[in-house]
This record gives sequence, C-alpha cells and structure tokens, in this order.
Amino acid sequence: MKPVAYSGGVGLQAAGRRRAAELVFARGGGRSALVRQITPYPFHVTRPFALDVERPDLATLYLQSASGGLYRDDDLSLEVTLKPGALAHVTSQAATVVHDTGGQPARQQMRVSVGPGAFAALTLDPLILFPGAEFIGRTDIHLAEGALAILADGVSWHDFSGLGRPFGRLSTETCVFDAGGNLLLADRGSVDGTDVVGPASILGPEAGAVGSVLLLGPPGRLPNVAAIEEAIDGAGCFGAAGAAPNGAGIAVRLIAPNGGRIVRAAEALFTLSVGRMLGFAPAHRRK
Amino acid sequence: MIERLLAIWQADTAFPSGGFAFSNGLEGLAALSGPMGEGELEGVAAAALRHRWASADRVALVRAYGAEDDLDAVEAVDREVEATTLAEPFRTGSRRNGAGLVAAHARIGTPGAEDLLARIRQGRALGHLPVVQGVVWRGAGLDLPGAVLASGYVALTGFATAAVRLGLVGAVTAQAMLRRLLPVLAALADTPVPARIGSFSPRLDIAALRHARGEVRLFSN
Repeated sequence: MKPVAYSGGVGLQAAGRRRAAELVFARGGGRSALVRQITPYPFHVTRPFALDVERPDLATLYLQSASGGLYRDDDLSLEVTLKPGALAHVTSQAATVVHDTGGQPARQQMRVSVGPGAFAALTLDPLILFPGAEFIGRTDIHLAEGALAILADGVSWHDFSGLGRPFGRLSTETCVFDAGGNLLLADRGSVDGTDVVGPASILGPEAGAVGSVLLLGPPGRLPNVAAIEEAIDGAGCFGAAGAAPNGAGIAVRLIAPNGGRIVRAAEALFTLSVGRMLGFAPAHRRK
Repeated sequence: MIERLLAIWQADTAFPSGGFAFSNGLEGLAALSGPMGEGELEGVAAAALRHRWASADRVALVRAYGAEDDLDAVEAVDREVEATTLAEPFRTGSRRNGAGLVAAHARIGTPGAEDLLARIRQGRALGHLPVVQGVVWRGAGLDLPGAVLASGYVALTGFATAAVRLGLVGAVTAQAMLRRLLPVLAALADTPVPARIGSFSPRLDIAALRHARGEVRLFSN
C-alpha cells in the first residue's frame, strides 16, 4: 500500500490499538536467555542471536512492527527486563513509520529495567514521521547497582506528498532512575512539524532528522567525549556529547540531514560503548 | 505601579546577576555554523524563547515563586531543573547565574535570599537561575506577571548583548531585533504554564557542548 493510501483514511480505520509487549532476559548456562516473551500483534521479534564470538552471553534480538507502522490513537507499550547479570541488545530491523494520525496521536511507551550487573542496549532506528503524524513517546530506564545501558533513538520526517505538509507534533520523554528510584535525568521536549521542517527549521536549514543517545553507567565504563564526537563526525552528523545530569552517564545530541546518518552514528556509538562497557568489539548487526 | 518598577529593576542588565558571561550557546553556534545573519539570529533567539524559556525556565520560575516560603518545595523544583537540563554547559551556567543573583539579593537584604543562599551553600539546593528568580523576586516584591516578563526579558537581552559582543550584529540592529521579539515574548508569557519542565533545543545544546571544549572563548557558554 502506498503512503497516500494510509493518509487518506485506510490506515485510520485500523487505528486505536492498545497492545503491551514484554521481554525478560535472564542469565544462565553462560547465555542470556529470553525467559519470557509476550509480543502481541503488531509486535514481532526474532529469536535471540549470539552474534559475538567473544561474548556469547550477549543476546541480540530484533524488534519489528508487523503492521506497517503506527496509526491514529495507537497506544503500544514494551517492557524489557534484564535480570541480574543478563546482557541483551534489542534493536529494530528497520525504521517505523508514523502515519497521519488525524489529530489523535500515536503513543509508544517503553520501560527498561536493568538488573544488578546487567547490560541493556536499545538501539532503535529513527521513526519516520509522515505529514500529519503526531507522536507521543515515553521511555523509562531503571538502573540497578552496577547496571549499564545504551539507549539510542530519534525521528526523521518525510513529506511523501511533496506538498510541503509537515508532520503534526512530536512529544518525547526519556527518564532515567537509579537503584533507589531517584530521578537522574528527564529529557522532555515537544515540537511542531512546522518548527523543524523547511529552510527556517530551528534545527538548521539542512536538518532532516534528530536523535539522542544515552550512555548510562559509571564514568570508568564509558567512552570519552572526544572519541564519541569523532564517531559522530565520522557518521556525518552534527552532534555533541557531555556529562548527563546527576552522574547518570553521557548524553549525546544528534542532528542530521536524514535518518540514515542517525543510524550510522548510533551504530558507531554502540560499538564504541560496548568496547568500554563489556570490553570487546561487537560484530556488525545486519539489517 | 511599584510592581512594574520592580520588574524593570530586575530586568535591567545593570543588576549584578552575572549573566553577561553567558551567550546561551550563541558563541558556539556562530563558531560552528559560520557567519550568522540578522534573520537567522532572530530565529535562534525566538526558538530559544519558545522551546526553552517558555517551556522550561518560565515553568521553574512560576513553581518556585508559588512555593512561597516552602524551601523544600523550591529544592524539588531545583532538582527537576537539574535533571531536565541535559547539556552540561547550560546546567553550569544556570547555577552560576543563580548564585550571582541570590548573592546580590542577600547583600541587599531581600527577604528569602539569605535562607536560599544558606541551602545552596549546604548543598541542599543547587540554585538554578529560574528557581532563584522565583524566590528572590517574590521576596523583592515583584508580582508574578512582572517576574515572568523580567525573566523572559533577561533571556532575550542575553541573546542580543551576546550577539553584539560577538560582532554578529551592531548594537542598533540588535535593538531592532529585540523590539521585534517583544511581542513574541509577551504572547508566550500569556500562554498556560505547562505542568512539567521540558525543552527542545538540540541545536543550541550541541553548540554549547562543542563550544565548552573550545580553546578560544569569549563567553562561559
């Protein structure tokens, strides 16, 4: 189906889904096993892969949307739990489209609980916001003692109609909590498509995507800022890194001409960070 | 009438609040993006008003002002400002500016300033600028609308004076830009105050972060 068919109402008729998915990883037998999986439609996941010879205890799992994207009034949630010592990388197979939501935003919530000594990486390809799309996203990350985490996400926008019609509105919130439940970081922001699409964009005239990466953990387990910014530059993004509030780790901002460069930067930072956090160079995640 | 005079007094750049040392990311943006025309500069300042001042600084100020004498509630706002300010140079700058403002008011004898300063020195409060503004401006007798406008005006003039000192525009051009943005500020000040602090300024965040590690700088951020 072509995008214009969705925007014309076909997608709208299949709207308003309330779905909750859950993934639980636990360590056992030298592996990180997916011990609980609830993935109702439109969620779809592959089986966990052990892609890294050096660390077969790191499970990699691809998350997909089986429905062609997010639609009006959708409310999807995903809960990922890592039991003590488990290591998991959850990534997306490709970008997810947010279709014209007709004034009723699509919502997506994620809650990631990283147990003591566990490692979680969520590197999701940027959402693609179509004209008229409104999206509200919230991600909560709860870190136990000694937990490490990487979160990479972002959005790009695409006016397939060529009529200069921007997406509607983007609202996102990412919160990080420590083992005591104290708020360490809350990255909240909202913006209208009219503010970021076009030559007068508040992100700069060439911007077509925006993203962020959080590298969470103690300073000794994180890459240095100079190396991060070198990787950002190498990916062709305009970006920077700095200490996150309350010692949460490192926060990275990214702006790029397209979502592909955000993906490249996220992949580079994943590789760099796994090197510091887990002590090896991860294999390329094929998509 | 005295409330208006008090707002003018606190919005006056002659008041020793330390804000002259901060460019709010403008110096970094100019260094990274190259020469910046008057139109682009105005767009950057307007965006900062809309997507940072109105949705973050103003919210913190209003909540701190409304906390009245409950300094525990003020501390909670202060902690939220810290957690929601992702770019380190802006966190540092906000705390430094807040420290300058509360110290000046403590010396003047503004009610509430000495108590807040003591909490900051004890490490219980962080003293972010909009939080300090809310507390000391209430103590100084500003009404809430006046405090909000003074806060927005300080933010706006910060951009204008930084632009002049960086040589991006002349003094008169900066004042013309300021005049054009006053209605924007007035309209934003009248919008409902969001329940929570938030902002969307990745471009200035990036510029400030990169600039903070630059070797040659005129401003602290």
